[in-house]
Amino acid sequence: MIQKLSLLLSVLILFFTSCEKSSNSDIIVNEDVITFFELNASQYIVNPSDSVLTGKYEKFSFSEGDTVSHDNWDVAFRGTTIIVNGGDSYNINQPERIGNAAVYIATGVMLDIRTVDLSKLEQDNTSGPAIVDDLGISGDGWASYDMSTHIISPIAGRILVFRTHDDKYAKMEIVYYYDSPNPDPSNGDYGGYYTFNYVYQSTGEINF
Amino acid sequence: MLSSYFSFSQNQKGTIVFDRDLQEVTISATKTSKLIDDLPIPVTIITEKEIQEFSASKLYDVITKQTGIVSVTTKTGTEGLQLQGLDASYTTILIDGFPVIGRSFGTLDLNRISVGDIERIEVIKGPSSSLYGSNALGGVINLISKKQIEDGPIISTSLKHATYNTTSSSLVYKYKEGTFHISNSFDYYKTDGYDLIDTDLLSTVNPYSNYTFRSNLKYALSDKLLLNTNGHYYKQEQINIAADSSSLLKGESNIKEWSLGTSAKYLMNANFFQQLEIYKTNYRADEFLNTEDGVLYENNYFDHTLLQSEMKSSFTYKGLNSILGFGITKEVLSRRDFLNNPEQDLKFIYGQLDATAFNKVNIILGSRYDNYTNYTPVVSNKLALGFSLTNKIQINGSVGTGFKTPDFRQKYFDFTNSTIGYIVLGRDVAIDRLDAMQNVQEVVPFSELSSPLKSETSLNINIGLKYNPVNNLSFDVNLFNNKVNDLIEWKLVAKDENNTNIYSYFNVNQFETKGLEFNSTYTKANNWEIKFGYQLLYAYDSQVLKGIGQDTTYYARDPETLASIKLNKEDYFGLFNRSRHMGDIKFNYHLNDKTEMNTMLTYRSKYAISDSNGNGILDTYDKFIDGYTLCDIGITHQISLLKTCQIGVKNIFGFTNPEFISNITGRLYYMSFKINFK
Repeated sequence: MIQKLSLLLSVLILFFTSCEKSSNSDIIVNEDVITFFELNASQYIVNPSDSVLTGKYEKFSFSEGDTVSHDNWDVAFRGTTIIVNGGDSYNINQPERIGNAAVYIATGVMLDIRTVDLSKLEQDNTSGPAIVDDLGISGDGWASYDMSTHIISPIAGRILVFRTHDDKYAKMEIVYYYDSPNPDPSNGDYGGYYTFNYVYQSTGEINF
Repeated sequence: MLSSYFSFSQNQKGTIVFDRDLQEVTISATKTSKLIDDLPIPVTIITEKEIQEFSASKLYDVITKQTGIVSVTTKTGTEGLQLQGLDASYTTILIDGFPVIGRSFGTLDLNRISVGDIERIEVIKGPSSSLYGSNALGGVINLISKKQIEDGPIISTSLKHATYNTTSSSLVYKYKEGTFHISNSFDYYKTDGYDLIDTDLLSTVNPYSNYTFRSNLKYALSDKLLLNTNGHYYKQEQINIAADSSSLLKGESNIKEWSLGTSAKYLMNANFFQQLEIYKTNYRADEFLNTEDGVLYENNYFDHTLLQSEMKSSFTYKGLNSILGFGITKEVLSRRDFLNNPEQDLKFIYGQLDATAFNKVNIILGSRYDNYTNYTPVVSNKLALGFSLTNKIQINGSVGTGFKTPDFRQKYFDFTNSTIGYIVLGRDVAIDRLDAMQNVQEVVPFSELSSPLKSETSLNINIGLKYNPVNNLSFDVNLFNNKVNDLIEWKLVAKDENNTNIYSYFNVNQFETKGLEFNSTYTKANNWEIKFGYQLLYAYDSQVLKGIGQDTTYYARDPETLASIKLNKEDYFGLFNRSRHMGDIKFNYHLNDKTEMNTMLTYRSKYAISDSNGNGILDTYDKFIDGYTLCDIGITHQISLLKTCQIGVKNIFGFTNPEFISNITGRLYYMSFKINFK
């Protein structure tokens, strides 16, 4: 009887501890990789007449590990668009760029990206962002669009490698784009929420 | 009533007949009548009894219940049947040997073809291009209309009513006197359609009605000269409702189709005949949508004409049967989004030798040469071998090649989707159109577009074993392998000045389907019969299978952590829309002399229709559509010699999947009466 009770107890403990994992707080998966949950970049409006987007970009700082409102941001999100604090603005409502941030998309799993290929880093420019933003139609960006389910998903094996606004480095993997890990837009799940794993190299070294 | 075809045909063994009146022979597989048991090619015969067991009205109702055949929604959004894992565009459908046309996106609507006066459907699996040319790469389905054997008139009428206010009625009039034979059939079908998703303003299937009129006239001018004329007219009207971003659009969608075929057969002597056939058919679909204010929003049409003329000679001597045929076809298509009205001319010649030696070995050797005006000529070959090991065991093997020419859409399409923003250009018009555009950004070098598209070609192997340990028990197993080369797919070629993606068609890759089909039938005298069927299927893109984990790395997400992981070969599931397992059980039980009950279970295992994780392939981490089982029960009661009534339930479990499976309705009740007047 006691054995049975303790078994039940351990199952319950296991259940509750595993539930904690999915709560909406920042948790450390291992020493380096940090997960940020559901950054809200959904504050935008589409003008129905010309399909032009307006609205707020949500800024993120790797060193602070959080969204920020000041100008020392590294990366900012609005809908499916990702911009960096470096280069030139190409669209309205973009936050001011004062830094030297740049980015490229590497292929692999998070652990495999061990070093930054400086030659690939690009900044935003007046014709568009460094990270292709086409709603996942070309497959060159970070996301893909499923025509049958209308779900936008981050493409597996795409790692975003950043130079931050102050010449440090970081790598990031976006893991889902909705306010639910298993989105069902027909059920009210909303897009524009970024959950991502990242590793920040605060020393300025290019190796992770 | 329960005559299994094995017992029947055994009585007839050894006789090869040219008359189409005998049951359990197949015509489509060799273009001559041949007993099914003798045929070394995998063929399924659907008998009239089977067609009527569940009161089927349309080809869809009966064909989708066969082992290894499933109706799937293809990438283009149209629905068509899959045979040995091959798409609907690879299957030819014939009515009394004449091809059905009207493939707007490569598929034929199975709900268009009525089976009211059909006595047999032959399904030949594997390529039959050596007899039928293009589009017969995956197989041939031939519907054979009922022939009258006795002199005098026959009038029969039937009426059926089913859920969703579906009514179907038919009237058949046949008359035979000596060598004169006339047959007219008319059927009318009307349904309210159905709606699987209540929350939106649209219906899954809008109300429609259609009617089919078929006529056949046969007359022997003399002992040696037989004339045969077939004609049909079909008309369908459907309400067309769609939704714009803000308002509801209403219109109509109509189809008109007709055909006329006539043949003259000259029997020189018992061993030699010649036949001349001329056939013309036209399919026209028109649809339009108006806004709420009655302003035309969109209209669309598709008009396809086929003219075919064929001369066939057949010579029989002892165990040897040969046919030689040649002919021409001419096709014209006119449709919206085409720059011109493309035409296609074909000259073909084919020959086939069918030899039986020592009453044990059967060899069929066939070859066909197709010469199109605008493609390189294609030669299709087939070799089939049958060997009777004992009276009870027969081993069959066949190797064949098949082909499918690029369709008109892949050559001449000029389609702009302004809502999503993309352009699709047929291969033959792509360069001219791209040259005329300003500031086009090349994604693929345009020089790759300058050569014409090649035909898709295939190689098929079937190895089968038939085993009849006793008269009322049979086993049939068939291993199949289809390799299709130069598959035509669209891919991104350029972007215009507004960054709109422009696609065109290319011969891209190779795919393979392989598997096993197993069928078994057990008959218990006149009491009951059980049939079991199963298909195991593996279908792969050959390049993906070869490259995965070696030259190419594919990624997916770990379902727990959502982090990216690398895929292994074992993680590759295969092509979309293919279920690994499909099975069916049919049980026929005679309650008494006049009443029988039929129960059927069909199962399809999980499959996926799209790549949910964006790596371009279907892997075990993708989202799958769950497998499902459908169950139908029907009771047939013979009220009197000439009167029959039926009652039944389809999809008794009421399975639906509104999100992903639009062609499975909920539970469906039906009731029908049939009266013959003699």
